[in-house]
Amino acid sequence: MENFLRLRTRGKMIIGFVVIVVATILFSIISYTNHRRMSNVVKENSLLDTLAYELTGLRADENRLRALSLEALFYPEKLNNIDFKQKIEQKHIDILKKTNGLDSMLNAYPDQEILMSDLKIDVEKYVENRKIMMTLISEGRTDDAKKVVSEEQDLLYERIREKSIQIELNLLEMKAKTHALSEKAENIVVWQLLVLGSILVFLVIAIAIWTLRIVRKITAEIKAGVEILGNASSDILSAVTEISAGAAETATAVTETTTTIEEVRQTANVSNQKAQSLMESSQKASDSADKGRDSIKKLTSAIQHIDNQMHLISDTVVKLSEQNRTIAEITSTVADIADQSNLLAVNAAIEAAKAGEHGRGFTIVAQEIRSLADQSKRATQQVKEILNEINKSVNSTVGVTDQGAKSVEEGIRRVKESGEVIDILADNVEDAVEAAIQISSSTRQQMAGMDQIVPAMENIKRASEQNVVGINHTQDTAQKIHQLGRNLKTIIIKYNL
Amino acid sequence: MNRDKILLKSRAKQNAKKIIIKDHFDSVNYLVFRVVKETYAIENKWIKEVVRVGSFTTIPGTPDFVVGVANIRGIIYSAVNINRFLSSKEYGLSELNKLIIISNGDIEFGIVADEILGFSEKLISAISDVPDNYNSLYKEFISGICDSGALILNGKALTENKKIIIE
Repeated sequence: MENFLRLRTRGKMIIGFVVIVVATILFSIISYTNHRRMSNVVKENSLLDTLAYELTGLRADENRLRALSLEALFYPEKLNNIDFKQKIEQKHIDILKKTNGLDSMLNAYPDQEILMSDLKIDVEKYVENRKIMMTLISEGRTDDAKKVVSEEQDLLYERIREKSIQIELNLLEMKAKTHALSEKAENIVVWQLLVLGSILVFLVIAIAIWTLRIVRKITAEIKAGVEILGNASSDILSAVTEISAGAAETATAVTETTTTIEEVRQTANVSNQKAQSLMESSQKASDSADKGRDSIKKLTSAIQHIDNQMHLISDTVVKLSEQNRTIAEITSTVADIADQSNLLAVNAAIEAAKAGEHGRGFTIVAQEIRSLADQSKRATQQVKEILNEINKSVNSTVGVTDQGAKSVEEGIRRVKESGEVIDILADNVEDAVEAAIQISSSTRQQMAGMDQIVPAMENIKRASEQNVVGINHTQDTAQKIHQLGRNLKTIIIKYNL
Repeated sequence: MNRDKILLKSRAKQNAKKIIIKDHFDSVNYLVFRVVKETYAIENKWIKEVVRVGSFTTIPGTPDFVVGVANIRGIIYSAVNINRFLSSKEYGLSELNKLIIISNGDIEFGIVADEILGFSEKLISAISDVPDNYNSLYKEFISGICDSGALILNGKALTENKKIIIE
């Protein structure tokens, strides 16, 4: 029972219908069997009737033939009549035919057939004797004919009659038996049919009720499903419409993207060319940077040399300045001496003047000494001026040398900075070269990627176009589904399911 | 105007005088020296000697024209800045390392000088009088002005006047 409940509805229905079909087949088989049985009974009955009829006919023909032969016996001239003769002949044939027919018909009844065989022999004998009798009559031997009749024919006639009656009685008895049997069988058949029919009707009603219930359930579910289908198909339709619009937009966008990609590809091509030229320029710049580095090295050594020279000049100038200072000291000493000489001369003159007339000559000497001292002083003054000039020049030289040394230091610093800058520049240029190479390779990859993207975009385009077509189909299908949903709804409403 | 007339009149009088050619003895010998920018002259007879002095020892409580004192061969001389004494304005730099020792036989002191310019023998007639507008306070120390522009110092006044001699 549990297994049965677990089966699907279809399986249940199939089982139900199989039961009905089996019951129907059973019913049909039983009905057919009964019908066959009944029809056999009827057939047998009719055969028996036919046999009885035939036997009666045989007896009637025999009687007629006896009557005709007796007529011929009494009236032999009638034998001249062809019609009469023919009648007798016909009767002969009829009797023989009927006998043969009965014999063949009684195959189904072996007991009766034995009797029938005797009967047949008797009939044949009888017919034979009749022919002999007819021949005797036509020859005019009436007595011989009467003798045949009284000796053989009457006996044969009786025997045929008895035997036929016997057979008929037997047959009638059999018929009665069969009738009783058939009635009994009929009752059984009626009962069987009633029972089987009731079972069948009950089964059909049960399955019909069950099917109706299932159908009602299914219908309710289908109704709900149709509702959902209707709504869903509406939704699908709108969604598909949106998707269709979207697909069209996608197709347009894909076209635009393809164009853009073509542009990007061209741009990438330009970038590649630029990167190539940048690489070449960077290479040249790198060479120039190397040259610049060499130049800076040479320049550094040259400036170092200048610096050394400047140091030498500075030392020399310092020495010169010191020597100048020594000369100045000597000169000032000389000037001092001249000054003191002057004073001494003045004092001598004063003393000479005090001496009066006697000191006059000494006064002149003193004046001469004074003038010499003055000359010395002037000369020292001139030397001092010259020394001052030299000193100024030396000082300015010292300043210029200092400035030169500073400039040289500045120059060295600048050159070092330039060297560093050139180093950085060279590094940057190398970086730039590497970057340019990377840019070039990546641009090439980009271009290759672009080349791949273009057919891919073509594919996408084709696919999107197919999508559009497919979506249009889908739209039609969704329309059909929508229509189907509506139709189903209409059907449900129409049949009030 | 009146003053100009007087000046012109005196000049005319001077020019109208008979030129007397003085003999050799009418000339005086001067020592000319320079103190900063001023040039002075003094008669030889007042000068004892001229010495170089490295430094002076300043004496507190003395007038500002007294530079200090100096030891010259065992004798202490006071040194006077004649410029300051005559209230002359001082401009420029000066060494003032020479000391002219003035003497009247009794009082001796030194006048500081930058430079001894030399001796000058001037005729008395070549010496001009001190202008009238010169400060009368110091007029007695100036006996005249040389044609070279040197102020001729009066040795007698310098050695005797109480304005300069401090007791």
